[in-house]
Amino acid sequence: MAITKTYRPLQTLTLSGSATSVTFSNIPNSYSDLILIYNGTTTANIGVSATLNGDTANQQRTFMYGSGGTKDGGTGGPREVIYSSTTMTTAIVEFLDYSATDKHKMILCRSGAAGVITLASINTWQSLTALNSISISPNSGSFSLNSTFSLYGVIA
Amino acid sequence: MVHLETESLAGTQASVIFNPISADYDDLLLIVNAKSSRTNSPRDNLMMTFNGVGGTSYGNQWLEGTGSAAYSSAQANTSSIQVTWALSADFGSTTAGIYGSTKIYITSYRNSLNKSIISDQTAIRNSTDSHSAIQGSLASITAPITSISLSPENGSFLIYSSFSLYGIKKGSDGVTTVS
Repeated sequence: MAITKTYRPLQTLTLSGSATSVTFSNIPNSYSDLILIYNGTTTANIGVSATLNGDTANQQRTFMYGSGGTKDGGTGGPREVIYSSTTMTTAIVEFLDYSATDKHKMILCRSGAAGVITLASINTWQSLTALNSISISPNSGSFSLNSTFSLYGVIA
Repeated sequence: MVHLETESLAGTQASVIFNPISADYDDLLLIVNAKSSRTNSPRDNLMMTFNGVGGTSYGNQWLEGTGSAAYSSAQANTSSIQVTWALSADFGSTTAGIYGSTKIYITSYRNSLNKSIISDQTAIRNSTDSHSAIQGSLASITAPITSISLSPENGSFLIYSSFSLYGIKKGSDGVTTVS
């Protein structure tokens, strides 16, 4: 998230009730990167997975996290881009060069919930297709009232 | 993203306060490149409060890397947010001209809910010694954030420390949809 770049707001949703998923569609390919900002809660402390262009496969993930006094890292949960909590959570998910048709997509993810978890991961989506749809959903339960999802395009 | 204000210190200063903060945006991004006058350690913590509120209003959780080890820890019910290892310090062997770098993202700063913050920070000493951390923080403050106060945990900010605040506005491009 280089500060010399400019964000252009693409779309925002604030939930008026609970939701099991949130989907951004018709994403234009006119930006260099996409940034998804999540500010919300879930009905459980739980990973949130992404489906990209309807593809539920072809993703890999390496992560590290701290929770209380425990720290660890590893691979797995290949589609998880956010870890959300029952207490207020903020996450920043960056989709780099998302419209490229000659490279796999890199996704930089950070989530933070005070007293619960801090998590960072780098995910890859092994696709040569331009990303035009992002759907995210908790691995169980739902997003809660007032959770906010904002998508920005980054102008290089 | 709109640049709101930058403070670059011309001398030593105990604290930096952004006040008032425009209510025209939805999120805030704070970039800090700073060093403290602490002399008994090569790094220091950045202490942050909102709206002059102290008490037991804040908490955090961070994951830290030292170059040779990793640590995780949390704080609850504190009087300020400790942005852990966000500052370089005026320790004897800290390389001149090196300042800690920190990026603090504050979401939905005008809403009536508790405020959630995520940050990345590095307190660098020299080419072989730096501590980096990622951190989630919470301010149990439901009022809109109208001021941000920053200070080192030890001593004062040193000359050339800089602090920049940006406003980020949500919206629609009329093309992308969300449901």
